[in-house]
Amino acid sequence: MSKSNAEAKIKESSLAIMVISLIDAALTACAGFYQLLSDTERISDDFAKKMMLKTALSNIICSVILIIAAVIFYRIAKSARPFTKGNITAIRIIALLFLINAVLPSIIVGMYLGFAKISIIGPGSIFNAALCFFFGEILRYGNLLQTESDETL
Amino acid sequence: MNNEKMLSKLRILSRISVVSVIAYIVLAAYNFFPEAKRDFLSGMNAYESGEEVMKDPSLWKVLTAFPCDIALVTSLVIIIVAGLQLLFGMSKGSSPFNEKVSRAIKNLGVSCIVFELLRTYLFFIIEETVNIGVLWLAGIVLYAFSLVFRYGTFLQKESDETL
Repeated sequence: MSKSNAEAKIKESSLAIMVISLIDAALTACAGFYQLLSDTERISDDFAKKMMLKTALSNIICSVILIIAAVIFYRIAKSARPFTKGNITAIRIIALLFLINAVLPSIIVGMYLGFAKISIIGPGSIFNAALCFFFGEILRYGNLLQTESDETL
Repeated sequence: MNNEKMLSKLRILSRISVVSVIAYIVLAAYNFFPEAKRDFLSGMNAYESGEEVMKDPSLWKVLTAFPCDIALVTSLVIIIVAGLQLLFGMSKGSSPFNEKVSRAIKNLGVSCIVFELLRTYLFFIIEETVNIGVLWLAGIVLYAFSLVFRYGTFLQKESDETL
C-alpha cells in the first residue's frame, strides 16, 4: 500500500466512523436525557432511583465523548492528516472526560446514598482514560514526524 | 521535545501499559475462574438430573451454537494475543509506527468485531433477544487506527531516509 493509498483509505474509514459516532452520540444522549427527565416517582426503591441517575449522567458524558470523537474523525476525513495539534488536544479532552466519567456520577450518587453503598471509581473508564492519554502521546510523536516530513518537502 | 526523548517516553509508557494489562488480565482471570467453575458444575448437575436449560432447541441452534462457541473463544484469544503483541511491539521497537504494530491493531479490531457478532448471535440463541454491545464500534475504530499507524509508518520511513 502506498502513502496516497493509505491517505485515501483513512479518509473513507474516518468518514464512516464519524457518521456512526454521531448516530451513537444521538442515541446515547437520548437515553441519558430520557433517564434524567423520566418520571421516577413510580420507582419505589431509592437505591434504584439514584443508580438510574448515575447511568443517566454517565450516558450524557459518553455522548459528549462520542461528539468529540466525531469531530476528530471529521477533521481526519477532511484533511487525511491524523497527526495534528487539534487532534492531540481533542484526545486529551476525551481522556479527561473518561476520568470525569469514572468519578463524577458515583460521587453525585454517593452524596445521596452514602459512599459505603456504591463503588466510587469506575475501573473501565480509568483504563479508557489511560489508553487515550497514551494514544495522545503517540499522536504527538506522529506530529513530530509529520512536521519533519512537511519541512523536508 | 526531540524525537529521541519522545521515543524513550513512549517506551516507558508502553512498559507500564504491558505490566498493567497483564495485571488486569490476571486479576480478571482470578475473579472469573471460580465463578466459571461453579456455573459449569451447576450446568453439569442440571444436565445430569434431567433439567432442560433450553426448551426444545431447534436443530439449527444446536448445529450452529458449538462452532460459534469455538470461534468466540478463538477470537477472545486473538484479542488478548494481539493486544499483548501491540504493547510488546511498542515497548521493544524503536518507533510505535511499524508494520508489526499496525498489523496487531488490525487483528485486534477485526477480532473485536467478530467477537461482538458471535456474542450477539449466541445471546440470541440462548435468550431469544438481540443485545448489541459497543465492542463492534471499538473494532471499527481500531481498524481505522491501524490505517493511521500505517500512515505513520510511511512518515517514519521518510524520516529515517532523510537522516
